[in-house]
Amino acid sequence: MVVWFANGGSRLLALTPAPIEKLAFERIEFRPQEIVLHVRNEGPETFHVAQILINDAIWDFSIAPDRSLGRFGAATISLPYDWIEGEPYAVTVLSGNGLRHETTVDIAMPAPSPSGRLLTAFALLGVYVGVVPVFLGLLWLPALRAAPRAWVEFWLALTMGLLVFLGIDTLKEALEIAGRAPSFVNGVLLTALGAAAAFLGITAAGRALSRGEGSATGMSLALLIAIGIGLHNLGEGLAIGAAYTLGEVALGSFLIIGFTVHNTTEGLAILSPLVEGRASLRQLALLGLIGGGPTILGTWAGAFTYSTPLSLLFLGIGAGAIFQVVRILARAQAKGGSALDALGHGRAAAGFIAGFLLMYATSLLVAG
Amino acid sequence: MLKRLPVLFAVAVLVAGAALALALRGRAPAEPRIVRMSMREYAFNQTNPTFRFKPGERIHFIVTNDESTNVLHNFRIVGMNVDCGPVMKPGETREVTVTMPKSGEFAYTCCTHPGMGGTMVVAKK
Amino acid sequence: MRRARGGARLGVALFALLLAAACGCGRGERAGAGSADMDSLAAAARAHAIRALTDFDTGKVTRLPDGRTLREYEVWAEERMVAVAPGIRFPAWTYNGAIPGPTLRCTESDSIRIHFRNRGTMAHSMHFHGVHPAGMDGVFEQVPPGGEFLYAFTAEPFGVHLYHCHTMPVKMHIARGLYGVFIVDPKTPRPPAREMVMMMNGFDTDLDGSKNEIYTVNGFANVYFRDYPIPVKMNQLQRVYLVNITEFDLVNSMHTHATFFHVYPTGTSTTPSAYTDVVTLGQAERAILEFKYSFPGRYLFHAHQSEFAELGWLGQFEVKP
Repeated sequence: MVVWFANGGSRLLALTPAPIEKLAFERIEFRPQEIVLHVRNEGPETFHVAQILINDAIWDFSIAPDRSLGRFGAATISLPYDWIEGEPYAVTVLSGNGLRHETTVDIAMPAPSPSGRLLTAFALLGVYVGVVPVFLGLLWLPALRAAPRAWVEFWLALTMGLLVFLGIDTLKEALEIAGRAPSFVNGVLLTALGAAAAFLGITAAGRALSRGEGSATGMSLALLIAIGIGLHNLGEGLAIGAAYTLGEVALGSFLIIGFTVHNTTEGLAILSPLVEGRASLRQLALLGLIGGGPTILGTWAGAFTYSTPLSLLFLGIGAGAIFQVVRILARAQAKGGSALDALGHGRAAAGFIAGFLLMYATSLLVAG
Repeated sequence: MLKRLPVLFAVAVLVAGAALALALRGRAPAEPRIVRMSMREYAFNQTNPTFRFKPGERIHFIVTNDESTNVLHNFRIVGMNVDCGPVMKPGETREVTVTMPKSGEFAYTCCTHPGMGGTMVVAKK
Repeated sequence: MRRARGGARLGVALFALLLAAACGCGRGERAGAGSADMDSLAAAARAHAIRALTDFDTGKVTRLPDGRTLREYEVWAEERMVAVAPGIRFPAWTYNGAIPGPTLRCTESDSIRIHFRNRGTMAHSMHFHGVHPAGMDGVFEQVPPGGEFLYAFTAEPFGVHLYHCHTMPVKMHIARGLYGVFIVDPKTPRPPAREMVMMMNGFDTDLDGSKNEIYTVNGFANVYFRDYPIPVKMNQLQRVYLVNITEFDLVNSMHTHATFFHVYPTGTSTTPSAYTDVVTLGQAERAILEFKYSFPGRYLFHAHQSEFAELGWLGQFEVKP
């Protein structure tokens, strides 16, 4: 068999004479009078960059480190081009084999370069979209405490509905990005990896927090939920920052309102375990920061150093964290029973569905 | 051990200093190599040649507008932070020193005249 | 226990060997990979485009008993990898190893014989745009791989014509590069001029059968813009034999900067039909353009479909006194 392969019998495997090529556009930056492409060869064979077209016109370019990209090799391509802000551009790479690899930018936006002003702007965005809403949610604590006991169950179920929706939404976003990304299967696997890691990680954290008492309750549970939501918001921040860089989205105030409401409900989720028991203002503030703060980090990361694999990983982590938190919450509710036991009866089921609907409504505001 | 600490500290500083001095000495910037580029008849050096440089080489470009008629030019190297400078009238010169990157192919052009330009190849060999 | 372990080791070793062999051999890359090879392909294509501008194959000339001239030409079809733009290779089907094929030239009422050999792996033919008997049309007489055919006819009418392969699917046989110019001079020669041949074409480099990625004149993108600005003598009459063989696009055109030309459609008349600076041609349409440049300097010429110009159909004349 080896002899057969060595003597070209494997030509059978190369079923078509057409070469297999896959070029990933990792990042496109619009600098003053220049367009910079970061590309990576994701195909099995060496990729030769022959010509670059901008809107179907052959254009001069510089390329480093080399015109030939080995497997997984990357290159930075600079094109002297007077682009116009807000207009769409189609950039095509013609390979040595004459194949086209095209990417389009719907809206050309100047590349954010880390400047003090920009860092602050993105940080403020993160605060506004992440931290503030979570704190707003936390303000509901006194109201919750005053409410009759029966409603606590309702609230907890609502929280779970909230979080499950969030988790599914995160996965959906990850799959969308993975579908757009060049190597579909790897994208899905990355997400799954992140989810599994987060799932197991939160479990471990939960055990550590409850110090072997069984399942976590009260403050420990709230902390766990805050961590889970924090991880989720890291992914959300990444998405916001990345969208800005890839020129995909015009962040209108409309969108920001949507995000804000969406994230207020997350504050509620953190609250639920604290309805019975004590919680100092300092502790509450800390929880708010843990839940909302990562949005800032995510926005910075997304705006300045976007990479598809990283973003998929974090979205996976976010989703996994959420699902694990839901499971913990449910088991805490059921007081030792299974997660489904907690949602079995009327008020709880109603709460769960209400949570779902609430998130659905707010997500409509975010729609995009 | 504690008693010897000041001595140890002094020795450490001396060793570090010596190492640093040695390292920096090796890095003393060499004199940049001069490359002249003459812009005449809408071409660089008549043939828009392909230049070859070594990685890390320091090159001092002296670019002159040698047109016999009133034609304005300028000069840029894409991807090396040498942007279109101010336009040069016939007789004017622009000088810029560049440290070559690790590798790549870089387009040099006159920003105002299409087709006027060529390539600079940076490679180990 | 020992035997099991030994067997397992053998299994692993064989598997690894198989994998290595498979990875090493099963490559689908187009033949001739590597940038050094690309450089030589590009150099050859450039050189061919420069030669094709002014090379005329007038055949092996002999006198027939009735006084007419007999011209014999050798043309073969072969598959070959060519460069069509800097860095881009294309698996072409060619006449005589390059695109466009040789420019065959003769005079009206000459007796023409083209000895065609098919060195390709599929059937090909030669279909001439001219007047000739049915058996010489290159449609119903397909030449199998390894086969030969003698096309024999009298050259008529005078003008600028072309020849191309007419094997089904014709779209593909043309798009892959089987074409060339066929010039029949009138018995009374045209006024002396500096003559050039320009064949406008496109290349569907990704072979998706629907559009061209690259446009050229004489086979290599931007060759007369970057590599060889065409030297022209000021005030000297220039004559261009312009042929359009672009597939997938309905028309192509040529525009000269700073000068106007007289147009002789198909070259079948010695009276021009128009005096203009843009001529638009459908596929297989052709014309003779005659013009002069009155001032020195560099002048562009290109398709006035700017999208073609920006994908390689761009050149310049360098006019000197």
